[in-house]
Amino acid sequence: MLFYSFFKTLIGHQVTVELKNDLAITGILKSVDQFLNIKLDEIRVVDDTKYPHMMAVKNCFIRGSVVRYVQLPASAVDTALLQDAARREAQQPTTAAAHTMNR
Amino acid sequence: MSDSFFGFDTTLPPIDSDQLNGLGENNGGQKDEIEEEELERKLKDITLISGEDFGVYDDEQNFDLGTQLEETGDDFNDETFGNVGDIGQDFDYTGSTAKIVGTIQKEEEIYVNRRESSNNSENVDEPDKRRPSYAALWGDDSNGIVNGHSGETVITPPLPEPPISPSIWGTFHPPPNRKDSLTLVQDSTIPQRYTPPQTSPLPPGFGLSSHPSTRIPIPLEEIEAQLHRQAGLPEKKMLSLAEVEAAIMGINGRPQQLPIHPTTEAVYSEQETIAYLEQEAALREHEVLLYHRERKRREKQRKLAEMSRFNGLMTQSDKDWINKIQISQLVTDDPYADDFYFQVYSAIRNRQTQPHMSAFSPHGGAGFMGHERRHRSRGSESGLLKMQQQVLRIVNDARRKPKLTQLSLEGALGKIALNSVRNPRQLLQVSSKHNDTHHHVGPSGGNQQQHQKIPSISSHGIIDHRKVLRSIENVYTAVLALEELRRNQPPLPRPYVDHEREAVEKWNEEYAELAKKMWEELRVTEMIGVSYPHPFISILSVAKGKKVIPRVLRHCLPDQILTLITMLVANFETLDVCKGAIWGTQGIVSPAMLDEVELYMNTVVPPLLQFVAEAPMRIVLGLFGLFIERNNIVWVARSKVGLAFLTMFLSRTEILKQGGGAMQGLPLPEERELLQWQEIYNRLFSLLQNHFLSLFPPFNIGIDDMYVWQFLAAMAVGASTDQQHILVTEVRERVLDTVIQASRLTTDKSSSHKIANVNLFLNALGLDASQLKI
Amino acid sequence: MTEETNAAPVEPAAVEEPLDLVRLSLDERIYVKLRGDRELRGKLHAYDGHLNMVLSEVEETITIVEINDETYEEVIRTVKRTVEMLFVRGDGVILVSPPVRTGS
Repeated sequence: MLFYSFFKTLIGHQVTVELKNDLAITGILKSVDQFLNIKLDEIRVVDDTKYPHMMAVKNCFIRGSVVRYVQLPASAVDTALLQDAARREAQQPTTAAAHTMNR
Repeated sequence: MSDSFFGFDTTLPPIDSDQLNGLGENNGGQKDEIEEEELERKLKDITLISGEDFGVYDDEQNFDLGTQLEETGDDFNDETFGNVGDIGQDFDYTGSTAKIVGTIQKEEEIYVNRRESSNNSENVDEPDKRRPSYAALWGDDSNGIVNGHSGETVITPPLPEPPISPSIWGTFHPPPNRKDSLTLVQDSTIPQRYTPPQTSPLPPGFGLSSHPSTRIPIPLEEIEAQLHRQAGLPEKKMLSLAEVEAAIMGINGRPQQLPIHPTTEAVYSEQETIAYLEQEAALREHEVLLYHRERKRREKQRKLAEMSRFNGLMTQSDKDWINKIQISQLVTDDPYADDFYFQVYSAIRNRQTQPHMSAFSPHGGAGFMGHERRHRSRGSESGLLKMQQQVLRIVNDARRKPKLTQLSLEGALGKIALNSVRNPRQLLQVSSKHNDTHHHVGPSGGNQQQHQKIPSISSHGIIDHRKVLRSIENVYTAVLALEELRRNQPPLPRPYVDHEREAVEKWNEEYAELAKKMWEELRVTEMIGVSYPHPFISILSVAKGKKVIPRVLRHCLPDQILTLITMLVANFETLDVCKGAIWGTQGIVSPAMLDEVELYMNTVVPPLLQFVAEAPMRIVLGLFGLFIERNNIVWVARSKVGLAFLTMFLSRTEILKQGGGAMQGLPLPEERELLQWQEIYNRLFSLLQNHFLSLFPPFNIGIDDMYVWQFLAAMAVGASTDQQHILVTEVRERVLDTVIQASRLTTDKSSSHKIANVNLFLNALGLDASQLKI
Repeated sequence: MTEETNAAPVEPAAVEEPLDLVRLSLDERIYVKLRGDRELRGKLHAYDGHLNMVLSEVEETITIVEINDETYEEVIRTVKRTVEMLFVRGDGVILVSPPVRTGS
């Protein structure tokens, strides 16, 4: 849930989603779900001469599994907090296990 | 005559249906072709209307169903369902069936037996003993209806809830139920038409009213329902499609379409049946007993089969995973567990936009302090500001009571020059001291060489580095847990409320335990000299190790902070930001290292500065002395961090000397302490003499040298007149260069900043940059 | 989280899992090899069990092998670019390691 939590804070920011087929779409992050499926608004294809068929599309839903990268606005990322969140996430499985044993 | 509808009941064994076979004589019998066509047409209509499979069946055709059906009845299964060979385990119904095949066989036997006995008893029982619920529909009432109108009865079939089937073949009703079949049989001479509920009432005249004595059209649903009532089966569950199909074929009088079904024409006389049934009746009671026993056994077996059906489908790790999911859902009442980043990020953002929102509640907000603090220090460099304020304070104090009476405010530049010229002895002194420094600081010089031999931690290998990283992560783990604990801090207990007091005590215990762990992970107290660099210094040499320090210190006791500072001061020159960021000797400091230095200044220095700024003279002098004693000062002072520590000690001691300790309720320093201070100061001054200019970073490479001016100002305040002269002489060129550069700068901001830097120092001497004539 | 679980993570982990090594690299620069002949170098800020990651100051290197039409020789060329902050989806990750330490 770490990255879901993380992406939620980026809603409303401009991101560039790079797909595994090399298509790169810049747009405003509208929403995200647990599978990291992504909805973008006001989209613009980075290399639109290569993908002219995307020109008319204004918003899109991207299945999480086809994403390779998402370029993020660094100013909207609290790296220290993100690291803490990652540390907490890393120790959560053991936490759950401890719970099981405690009960 | 006994007949029944169960001809297509798969549980019926073929050979035992003798009496039924005997009834097959009418098969394909005298049928009015036109009637049949009309019937079929109407049937279709109704089927369309009701949207259901729907059929009308002749009574007489039902008689021989049992003979037409093969017991297995699956000859066309392959055609209907395709080859079932490769069905995966998910669909392995046959596998399930196979598990209880023994049961099925037994059931069959029982069923057959019971059928025989049932038929027997049916003939013994009189119709007026029928069970009211069902039999009534078949009895006098229906007769009445028949007489009343068109001779046909529209009956909404009563559908008494069949008992839940304990086996896949269902449980058999106790014998009394079987009266129904007898009733049915006996009433079958009366024209009846059964329709499913959703199609009634049907238009009068529909059906076979003109042949009331020979046909009873019965919809399939009714047949099934009847069947289920008889057998106690849940409706529409037990028949395979092929079986139903076969049954329909038979009912519709087209057995020729099922060539595999031989048309047996056995006759079963009533006498024979009665005799047979009488014999069976004697066994009935015993059978009931057996039946109950059997039912229990089958119930048990069914449950076992039910449970074992999916055995081995999940591995242990699958199960663990499900457990985890379930547990994680249980514990998500803490929003931080799953959504930590979003929650805290939002909280921080909200607080930034609403700065005067009320401070932390003991529960909700305290945990954010770590993050908030980082934000603040990152934004404003509070540490440096604080340092500057402290230096400014002592400089201003010094200005208020100037001791440099011989330095007139006018023509300061000239006079400074004159002074330096007029003090050749001091310059000589300096040079002698300079040499002295180089020769007599053997241990320190040795240290310096040592540094060159041991360039960085990484030369010890990645393993060591990994150990350090692990220590740091362990510290983080503890810190995160401590912060979490602080968030969940119980409120102060009300007096005499035991559980609240206990909660607080428990919390305190846990907190102390965690804080102890964190402290151990910091490895501050490990012996010096066992490993190089000291483990704690290694932690500080990693960026995230620096970052964690302010958060660590919030959970430290004052004694621990003092220990930590002492350890740091004693090993100062082994710090990466000290040894790796020294101007002059190594020339250029890499941008990455400059970042580390800034990080150190913004993370480690502020909380330590805070501590020192409240410490009494005795402690500050102890640290100050240790710092000078343990480190190669000439070398360390060339680093920004080293100089910052010196400035920190100098300004604090100066404030204490001037009675500033009163703010913390500290008394004025004792005479002994003042003497000790003087000793340390003189030692420092003599060490640095002739090196003051080398403390500056290279001119014009864009490094802000404010920290050096701060240090010089702090030195100047505590300096004797002679020492002040030395200071001024040594750095005079830098002063002039800076002022000249500032005057050429176009932007006001950087210009005034440079002037302010210089003035920091000059003011401490009672001078001002504006007096300089360039 | 309840209080007893706070204490749990501090216990030394009995079994060292591979992901624990990745944790050591938080806030450190790492090297990531990806499918499609891509490599990343950047500072690690977050990761999860899928090896989804957030990296900053990322340098991506794409290795492209082209075959010369005439000589049929393989021409290897690399394309580099930098990204300030990057989310990397874990399903493309082949390996994660600390960067090769240069010098000393």
